[in-house]
Amino acid sequence: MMAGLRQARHRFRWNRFTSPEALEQVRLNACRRFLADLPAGRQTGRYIDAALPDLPFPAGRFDLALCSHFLFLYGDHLDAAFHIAAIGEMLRVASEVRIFPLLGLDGAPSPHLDPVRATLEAAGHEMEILPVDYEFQIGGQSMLKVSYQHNETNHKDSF
Amino acid sequence: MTEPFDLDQVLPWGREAAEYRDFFDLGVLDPKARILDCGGGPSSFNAEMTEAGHAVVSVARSTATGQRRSPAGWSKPAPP
Repeated sequence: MMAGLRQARHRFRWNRFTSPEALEQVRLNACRRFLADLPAGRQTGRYIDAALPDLPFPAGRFDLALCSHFLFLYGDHLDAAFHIAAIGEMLRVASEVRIFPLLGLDGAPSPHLDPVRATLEAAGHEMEILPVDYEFQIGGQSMLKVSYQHNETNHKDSF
Repeated sequence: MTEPFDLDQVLPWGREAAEYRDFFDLGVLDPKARILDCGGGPSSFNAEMTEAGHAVVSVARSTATGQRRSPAGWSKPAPP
């Protein structure tokens, strides 16, 4: 992985992380902290064994759903229909959804963004692409924010 | 091998709460806000936010084949 990162280093902006090694340290530390928290967090229901596009929560359980480095980034593995189903499910359980980044692993804008936008807007959701203060993949400093619009026509079925 | 959160299968590549704040422009969060983290992999967002008094639930299994370790190790392209 580090070899892949070094080889692709021209596609990343090395200011927040000054080198592949510095990035690796942050990534490993975060992972260690996650692992240390996992047993207690599972017991108290903070970590739930589930995966998009099926979330085992009632409608409206959350105020905000975040999706980091999964949708769009792995767009080669996950098709547009999966993205639409996953975002629809997040909108079922949360009144607002934010997704980052909007680029694929190759650093190019995700081809799924347009069909996702068309479907969400047709379903009456409010969708915005907003600039954020984080750019590691060059050109990746945008997030998608989708708000659930509470009206008659907006049920999960509309996806 | 489909055991939930098979740690051997998870790429040890986590992101931290400070990054989440910037990814998602979280600003000052209401401590009462109920937050769901979907597909975030082994990030420390939940641990750090819980310690800071926030209510976070993480869906801790990723279907991203790209986030799984392949038998031959990670292959290119590298994840950010």
